[in-house]
Amino acid sequence: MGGALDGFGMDRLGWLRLAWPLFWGFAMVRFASLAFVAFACQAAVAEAASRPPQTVTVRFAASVAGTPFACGRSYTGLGRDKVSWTPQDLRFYVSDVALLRPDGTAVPVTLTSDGTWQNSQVALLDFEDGTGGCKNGTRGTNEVVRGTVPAGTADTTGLRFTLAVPFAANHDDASTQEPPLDQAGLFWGWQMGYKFLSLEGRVNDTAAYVVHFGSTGCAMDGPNKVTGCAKRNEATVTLAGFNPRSATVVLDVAQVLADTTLMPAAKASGPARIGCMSEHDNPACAPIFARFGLSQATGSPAGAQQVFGVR
Amino acid sequence: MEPACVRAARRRPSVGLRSRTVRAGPVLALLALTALACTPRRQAGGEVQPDAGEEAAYVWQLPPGFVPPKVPADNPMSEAKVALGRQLFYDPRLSQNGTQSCASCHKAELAFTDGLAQSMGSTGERNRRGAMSLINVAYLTSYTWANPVLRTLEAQAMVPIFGTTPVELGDSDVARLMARFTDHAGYKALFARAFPKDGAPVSLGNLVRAIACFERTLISASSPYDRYFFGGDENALSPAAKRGNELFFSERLECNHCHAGFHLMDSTQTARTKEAAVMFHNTGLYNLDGKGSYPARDTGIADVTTQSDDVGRFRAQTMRNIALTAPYFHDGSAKDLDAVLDHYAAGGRTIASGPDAGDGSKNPGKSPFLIGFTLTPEERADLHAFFDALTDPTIAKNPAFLPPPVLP
Repeated sequence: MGGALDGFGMDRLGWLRLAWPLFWGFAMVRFASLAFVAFACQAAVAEAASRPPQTVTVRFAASVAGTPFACGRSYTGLGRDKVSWTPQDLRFYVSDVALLRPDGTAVPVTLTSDGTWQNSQVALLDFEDGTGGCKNGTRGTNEVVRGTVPAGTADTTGLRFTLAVPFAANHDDASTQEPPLDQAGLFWGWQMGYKFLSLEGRVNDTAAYVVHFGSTGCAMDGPNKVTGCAKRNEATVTLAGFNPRSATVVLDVAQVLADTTLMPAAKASGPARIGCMSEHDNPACAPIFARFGLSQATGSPAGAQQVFGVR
Repeated sequence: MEPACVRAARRRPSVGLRSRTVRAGPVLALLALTALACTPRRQAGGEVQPDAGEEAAYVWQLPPGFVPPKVPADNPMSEAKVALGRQLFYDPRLSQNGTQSCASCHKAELAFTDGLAQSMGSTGERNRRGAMSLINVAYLTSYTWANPVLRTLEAQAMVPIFGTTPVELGDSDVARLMARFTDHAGYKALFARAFPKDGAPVSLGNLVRAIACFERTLISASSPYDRYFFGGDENALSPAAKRGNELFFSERLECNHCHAGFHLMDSTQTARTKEAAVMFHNTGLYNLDGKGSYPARDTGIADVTTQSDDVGRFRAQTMRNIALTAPYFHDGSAKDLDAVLDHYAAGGRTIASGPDAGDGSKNPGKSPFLIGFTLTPEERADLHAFFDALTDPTIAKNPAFLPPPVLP
């Protein structure tokens, strides 16, 4: 008790009298430094929170075997039967856009509503400009998806998106929707919802070939109440090696149609199907769905997609 | 408060409309007249539309599920304009020989059609096409059966008034037409009330503006279909009509590719639409030479654009009130809805003999959605029940649509 301190010529009380201010001062310094650290951290957190989200611009492009897509242009060598193809339409909706970190985790991109091409849930990409064979289209085009990610998002290396209007928004009345969901030409109706993708072209200047993706087998329970769709047909696209600052997502129409016979032999009887409109029993849909990594049989993603690339 | 970088990211280049160059003399002449009358521009609309004059702001009476239509910036709606337009619409003074008004071919009891395959003009000339229904006409992106440049009702009104091929209302002299209104005390007052800021209100431009304003009020959606889908009345559609609805919107029949949306046709726009899609379709009605030719008397929008791949392209018509608007197609060549179903079931009709003979199903330019189908008799009956459910019985009784007291 006293022994250790006796050598310093202090009794316990004296030591306490000496040590307490030191202790207190030390504690105060300690407290102050902790407080400073806490304050600085809080300030840093507050500063991070008040830092604006980072904007992200995902650029898209469309090509036909490497040649830029354009209404009014003609392309050759498409499909299994290597035919000529002239565009009539190319538009598609994307949703659930996310940047991917190297470890595969996703940073969701919040879409920026712009009153024309995007709301907060879905963006419409439109490559047709109403010229040439794209006669039922509009002049306006849109080749970007704009949104934000949280401030401080570290460099990401991949991109993921879904080629669809989300189910929750897919079964309302297009005529009462704000853009981009107000396009009557991309709307099948309440029950079936929107065309997620419309790719149309004229083959060998003879007949049109039409590809429309959308949900099928949708059940209605009373007026306008779609309860679910047997096949959602929502393709998910995951791209590695994608940096939004420098890269562009390219849809290659030639890849879409690579496994398709575009000029089928005339049928002796039965309906003349000229394309794939996501019908569950249309054999033309299977190879096209597969190239988007979709199973026609299940209406769900299955396998890798081969139509979107990164440039 | 958004950071500047987010605001900058949101800014987009504006989307502009380029006018198309079209070689068509009569149409350009009419457009010149139109240019005198009005310069249509896009305008965002709301439920209440501010008026240029001192009148109270116009309030749209819209059915459930409808948003306001697009209205040109230089012709805002007003009650006074609508009243004048209704007076004019029903007045045979519009025709040179005083025998026809707009209503002669657009009768309220037939959803503003006239029941003829091809309408008759005031001098006895037969039109090559049938009168189209004016119900919900404010929402269309182009007017008449096949004209991509007639984008406003103001422009369209010039066609029946001054057209010569064929002669419809038969007016050839603007001054002579307008004198019938300038020299009439009642009309002078109506024009002055409708255009209070205009120093010379009785003008051709104001005449077509007023008619357009009235036509824009012809909004109606009180059919059983509407009561079911927009009114939430689960009993409004019979089981047969419900089955017919499923068939109509099915992958098998593909009707909805051209006949979907609130107006059951694809070429519509509202006050929210940023850029109208003006759509035309070839439905394989003719195939004179096996190469897709249509009768020379009517090749669709190719008459206006002169492009060979526009032959046979026409605007889809609404399915609303379809049971009232026989006969069908641009030239009334399908006498009833069974003939229409036969046409689509075949993927395009065959005309066996005569100058128009040909197999439309083999028309190389026809829409790819005409895939053809077979219908059982029960399915055909269900479709008829659905078509009947699209009839709005209130149109013929709506006092706002019917003729006002005649101005003596």
